[in-house]
Amino acid sequence: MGTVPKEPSERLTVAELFRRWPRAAAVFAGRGMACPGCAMAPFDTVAEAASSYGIDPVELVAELSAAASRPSGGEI
Amino acid sequence: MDTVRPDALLDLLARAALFRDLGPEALAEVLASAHARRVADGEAVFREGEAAERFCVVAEGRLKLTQLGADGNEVLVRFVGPGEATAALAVFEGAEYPLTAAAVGPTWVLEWARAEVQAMLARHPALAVATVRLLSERLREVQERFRELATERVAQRVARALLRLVRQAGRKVEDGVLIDMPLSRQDLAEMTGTTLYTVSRVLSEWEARGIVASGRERVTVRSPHGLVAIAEDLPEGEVKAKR
Repeated sequence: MGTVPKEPSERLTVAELFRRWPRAAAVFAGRGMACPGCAMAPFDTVAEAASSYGIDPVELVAELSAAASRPSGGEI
Repeated sequence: MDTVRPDALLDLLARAALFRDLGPEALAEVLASAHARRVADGEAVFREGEAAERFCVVAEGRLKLTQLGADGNEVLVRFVGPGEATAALAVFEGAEYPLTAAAVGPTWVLEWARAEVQAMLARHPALAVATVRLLSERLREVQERFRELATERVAQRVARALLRLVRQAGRKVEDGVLIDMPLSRQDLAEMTGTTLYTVSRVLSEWEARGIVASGRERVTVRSPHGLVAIAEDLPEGEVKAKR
């Protein structure tokens, strides 16, 4: 609590991730994950969400990091 | 708890959706015109059909809002927790309370008489806007539940009711997400328009699959994704319980 995460990690809760990087929601949606807006987002970590959908958490975090580091304004 | 501390109440109002856009002075003024009232477990704050005189915010504890069906069966409309408001609509219409609000466990409520609410709304436009927002959210919730009743299977409705309660009172615990409030199978039946028998059958099946654990009026979601999959009709191939 209290520290601002610097980059997406599998230990963050899904809600923390979306708060810090709103564009992460598009990555989840693109993978067919129902996490954006989900009641469980404050309770599950990115790793737990990935494993629920049978997705490799390392691969997901890499994709999230790429989305987070993209310059803003370049997409809708 | 015998009293409520004014600074704790100010803190609660400052965080409540309805009041958080007000400045500290306005908040203090709003609180000054409130009447704090202690309600014992099971006692009603107001009853369906009575003249609606007061607007109400829960300070501590929880209220259960119910409505009587034509057949005399109770329908559980929603729970109202700390910082949440109820009876807003009734006060503005000058009408009757459309539901009964009874305390679940020892509860403190803040109440404002109609004239006080009207004066507050006239003085603080931010409060009026927040009230409209609250009412539209409630309307959306009712529309959603109407759709659920009209189109969804019972299991899906029970799953959605549990997810709503997770949003309101979820707490991370070792074996999953606990719905941190007293919740009986009868409550769930009344929330989803079905029978106690059906809710028991659904919950027993989910317990066997490791999706929920229930007992002593408490429900823990052991497989968050498993429950979401049922609520959202997702493929359930990878449902896993917490180990």
